[in-house]
Amino acid sequence: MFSIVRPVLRRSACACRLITSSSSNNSSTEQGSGTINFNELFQKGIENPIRNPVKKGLAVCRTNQTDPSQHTIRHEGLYYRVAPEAIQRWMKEGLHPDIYPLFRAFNESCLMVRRPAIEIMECMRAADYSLPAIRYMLYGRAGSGKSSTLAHLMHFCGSQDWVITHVPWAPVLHRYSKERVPSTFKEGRIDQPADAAKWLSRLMTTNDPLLKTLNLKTHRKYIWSRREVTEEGDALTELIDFGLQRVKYAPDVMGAVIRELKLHASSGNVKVLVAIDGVNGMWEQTRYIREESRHKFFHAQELTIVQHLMEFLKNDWTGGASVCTVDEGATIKEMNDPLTSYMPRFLLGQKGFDFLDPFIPVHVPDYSDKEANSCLDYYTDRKWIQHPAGLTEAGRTEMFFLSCKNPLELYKVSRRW
Amino acid sequence: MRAYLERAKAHDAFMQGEISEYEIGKRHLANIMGADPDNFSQEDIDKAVEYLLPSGLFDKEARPKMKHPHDVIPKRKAAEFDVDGRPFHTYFYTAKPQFFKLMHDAVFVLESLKKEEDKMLRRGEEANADKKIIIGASVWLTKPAVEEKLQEKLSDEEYDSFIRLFTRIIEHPISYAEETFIMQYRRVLSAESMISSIPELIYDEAGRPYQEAEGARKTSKAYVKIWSQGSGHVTVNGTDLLDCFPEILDREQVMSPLHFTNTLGRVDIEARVEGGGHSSRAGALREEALSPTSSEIPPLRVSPRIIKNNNVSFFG
Amino acid sequence: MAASMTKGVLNCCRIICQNSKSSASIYKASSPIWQVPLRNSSYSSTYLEPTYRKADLDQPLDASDDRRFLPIKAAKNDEVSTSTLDPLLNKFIRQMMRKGNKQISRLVMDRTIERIKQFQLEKYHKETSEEKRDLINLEPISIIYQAVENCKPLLTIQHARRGGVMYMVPIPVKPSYALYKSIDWIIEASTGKHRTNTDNRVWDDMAREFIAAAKNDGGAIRKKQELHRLCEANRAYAHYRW
Repeated sequence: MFSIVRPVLRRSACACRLITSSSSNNSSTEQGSGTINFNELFQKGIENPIRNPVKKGLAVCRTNQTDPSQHTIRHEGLYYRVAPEAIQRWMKEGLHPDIYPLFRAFNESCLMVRRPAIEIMECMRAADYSLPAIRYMLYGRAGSGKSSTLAHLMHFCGSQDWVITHVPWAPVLHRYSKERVPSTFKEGRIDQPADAAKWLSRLMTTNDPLLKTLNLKTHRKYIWSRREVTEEGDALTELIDFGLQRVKYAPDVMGAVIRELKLHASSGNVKVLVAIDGVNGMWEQTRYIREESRHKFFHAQELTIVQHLMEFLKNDWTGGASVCTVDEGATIKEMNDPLTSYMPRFLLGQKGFDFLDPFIPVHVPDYSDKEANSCLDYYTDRKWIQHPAGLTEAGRTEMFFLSCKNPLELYKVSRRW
Repeated sequence: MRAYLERAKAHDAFMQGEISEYEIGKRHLANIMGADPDNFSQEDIDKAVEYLLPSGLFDKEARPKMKHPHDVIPKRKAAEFDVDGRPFHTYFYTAKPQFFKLMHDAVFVLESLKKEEDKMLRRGEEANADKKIIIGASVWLTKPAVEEKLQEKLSDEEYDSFIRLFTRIIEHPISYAEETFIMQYRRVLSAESMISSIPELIYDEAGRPYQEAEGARKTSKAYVKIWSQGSGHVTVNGTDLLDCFPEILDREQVMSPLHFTNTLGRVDIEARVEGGGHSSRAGALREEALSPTSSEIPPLRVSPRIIKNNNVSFFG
Repeated sequence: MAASMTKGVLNCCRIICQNSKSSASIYKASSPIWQVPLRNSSYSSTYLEPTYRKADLDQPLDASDDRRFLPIKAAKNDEVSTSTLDPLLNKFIRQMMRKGNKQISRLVMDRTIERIKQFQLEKYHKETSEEKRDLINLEPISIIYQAVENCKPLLTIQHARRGGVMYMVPIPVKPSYALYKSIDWIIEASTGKHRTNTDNRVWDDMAREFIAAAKNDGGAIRKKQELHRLCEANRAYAHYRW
């Protein structure tokens, strides 16, 4: 079940409740009208968990099902192997940096199937794509597995031939950008050509085979300069290539590509998934100092790229979905500030919340007992746990105590064992 | 000689005068305090003086007090010889009669222990291991203490020989036979860590037992409730352990007493900690999470205090 | 004269006995006059070391155990009761620490152990033959112990001036110095200025150092071998030690 705890999320909560109630007669919202009874669904799954789901010799913590479109609640807590091609396409950048060396060390890439991912997958399966794109918001404590869930969902959508537009970590835009120029298109905005080009190249590598087969065309003419023009009816891939070649125009090309994708999605030509990690960073102050006053900083809303991403996050298009993450790491946090919270309303702030509302908040909790044991089973299977005490029940209790069953912390604790 | 005797008499008379003044003063004090003058003990006097004459002086020795003249006025030896000059004590001409008498007595004791041991060996008996004096539990009186006891100044060599002789006695297999004699010259040690002040079990409405304890380290203070029949759930200042202590070092500190006493995953902890930095907060929790757990596991009652975490204020 | 000499001798005996921890010492827990401060500790010499390892206290205390009667020092912050407590790792963390920043030092150590595991596991999982797999050591702690042991010098150089000339005299090494030097060389090899590729993080280099040193290879081992060579070259002056 979605865990809607705060009354502040009232508006988004309504949307959610309507979706989860078995009889939704008062569905006055524009959001998906599919009536999914999660209680029943999960109850069935919980009553029929997969026992020893794989062939002999493999640990109980794994499942043989490598196709995420087949994942259900029965696979909860189990690790599934992600094919190298899938990693290359959808998970090259989005996961926590500590995970990639593990993939290399274990000689395989496995992700855990977790409940928040399953919930969103069920929603996506049942959603009506003639209605505006649903915004899903993953929230949770630092290290609870939001980015991993996002990666799983990207794999899920990608395996069903959706176009995935991925921003691995939104705060990069407002912290580490190398090149910033004032926008030629709109005054007062800041362009980041290199970052826009990176987004375009990421779009290409993520969706390369798909874009070629879909053969999407532009809906209008774009005039970049006296000699450079993109005609109406030109291939979308050509537009993207143009942006990659002429990095100067990359931010505006990005805007054009987004507009085109929205139109194609709305026409039903393609399904689009917008995946943004750390979306609350888009309403934060940047680290870039203003020229006129050295004490003032630009706001993220003044960045062109951010404005383009906001276009994607509006609910004025159909035929797709947005999955975002709100993260404490994306904000400017005071040291030892006791007043921080990982709740979406707090992290997004008033403006962010007003923009993104209504959305479906999905809580990504720390590991449950079953998941935590499954995680350690996997580590033991892959010989990550080397200390003899780590193989005992008492050792596990110790690890769970020290990490409070937070996924990232459990990994950090386990590296000493 | 006469002058000496007169001085001795004068001292005795002086002491008697002081004692009678003390007694009268004690009765007056009892009247002031509204207590029974006949049953007014030294402790009552101390409390009364502290109440009537409060002092903020740091050194406790400098504060006003009223003690018995014997405790205040230094002892003088009683007259050692009579009018004719004949000494009372057999060993008077050794110049340190008390000391040498003690040494002679000790040798006598040692010899009698040896004889007893021989008899036991002939009978085929063995020394009683249970009654054996635990040498580690006490230490010899220091040189000043022995001098105070004997009322005689000793040289270093004399003190050494005293210690050596008595060590021979105490190390004898059946030294327990002369325990009273030996223990007069030993000071019993009692480690602070062994004085258990384990808080009592309180029962809540549901009948679940818990204990409350406080701990401190540097400038941090911790207040903890430890619930029995738990599952290892820890709440600090209303949040998770991970939120309160992002550092692994601190979490290990908090876990340390639970791991040591095998109560990890068996108790629930609800704690409030304030003041200081993260490391001292963890140390405060460690110290007082330590004490309550011991009463739940009687065989380990002794051990947790072994690792009491001191909060020596300036050196901690 | 004789009396004062005996007194002096006795005093020396007392001081020597004071510092010994044997319970048979007759000078234990004497008055402050007899106590010699031990290296500016805030604890007097009667204080015992704490027992913080679960393994050290299996049974309840003996009736005559010292810990029942004598005061005990407080346990330090890194003397924690966990299953992964390791004195060598603690020593390493302390020696690596700068400006009292133990958190960073501990993080580097944890990351180093992580990397050692990752390097070894990568080899292990890629290897298909069982025999070759058995040869790969996956335990990071044993690798660290082996590395530190291999890096310990047996001899070191002491300078002695004879007739205006400074000679380098090889002398045998104390165990504590050997351990210190071993750890120092490993840290130096991982963090020193000689590193050409500073894109690598400290823990990457340190993990490589450990794995290499466990096989008697790498920068730290080379330092030890250089020192041994120097000692060998100067063996003629060994008698200058006295």
